[in-house]
Amino acid sequence: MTKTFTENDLVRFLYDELTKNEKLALEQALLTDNDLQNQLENLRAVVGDLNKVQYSPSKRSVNKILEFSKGYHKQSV
Amino acid sequence: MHKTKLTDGQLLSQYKNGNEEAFAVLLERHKDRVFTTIYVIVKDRYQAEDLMQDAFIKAIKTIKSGKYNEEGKFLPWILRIAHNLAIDHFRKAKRYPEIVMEDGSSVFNTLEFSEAPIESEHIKQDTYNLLKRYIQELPEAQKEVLVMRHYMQMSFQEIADATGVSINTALGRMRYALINLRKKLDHSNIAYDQNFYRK
Repeated sequence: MTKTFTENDLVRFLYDELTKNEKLALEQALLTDNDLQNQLENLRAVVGDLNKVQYSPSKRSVNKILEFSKGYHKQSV
Repeated sequence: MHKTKLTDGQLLSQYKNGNEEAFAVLLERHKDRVFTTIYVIVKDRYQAEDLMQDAFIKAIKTIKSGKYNEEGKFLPWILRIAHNLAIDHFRKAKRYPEIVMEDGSSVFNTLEFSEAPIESEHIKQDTYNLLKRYIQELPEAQKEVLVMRHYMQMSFQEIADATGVSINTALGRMRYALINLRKKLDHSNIAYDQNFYRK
């Protein structure tokens, strides 16, 4: 019997949370199901973009942390 | 130079032995991820800077007092500290701030279609800036799951346990978050194209 996959399954697939058997079955279904392929690509595109969204702290904050670390080391010795 | 190839666990071992340079490498490696996790939650650059410092200071104290015992799993650990601090901040403030502070909004609102150079790199950068804004506009429950799964790398089961919902609910929230972001990006791409080609 062919299993019907949901978008939740696709999300689990993208985040590598399917079992080995589920993953194989989904990959098999993707070969013949264009709608499923499209759904996956849409979700994959957003996840890919999310990977590139990043904020950076100021240099000042980074230096403060480094200074604290050095000072804390001196205190604890 | 070879230090960049060391694992987090190896760097932590060196740090425990007094090598401050090892910590500097760790900080440089993970600061953006930690800061992003906090900033997406609190939406205020100044608060996020403070909370990031607090998170790392907490980590430093734990490591230097010999209480750290999760070698090799530094990132999930520091992200958990950062997330907890951000959530505590949120609870104290009762709610997420509705208006992004001046300094923060300048990070998002950098779209200048008419004056900006027309290059694919620039368009890509605009997409990421838009995405940053759209993440902030997500319903809180969806944003929470998105942050926990995507930036903190928690499993859906861990998220379900942490937030007191079923795994299907956590999955559903993530799915809606991704679909919402996709729709908004698609919509903005259409708007962008119209703006771009309009005479």
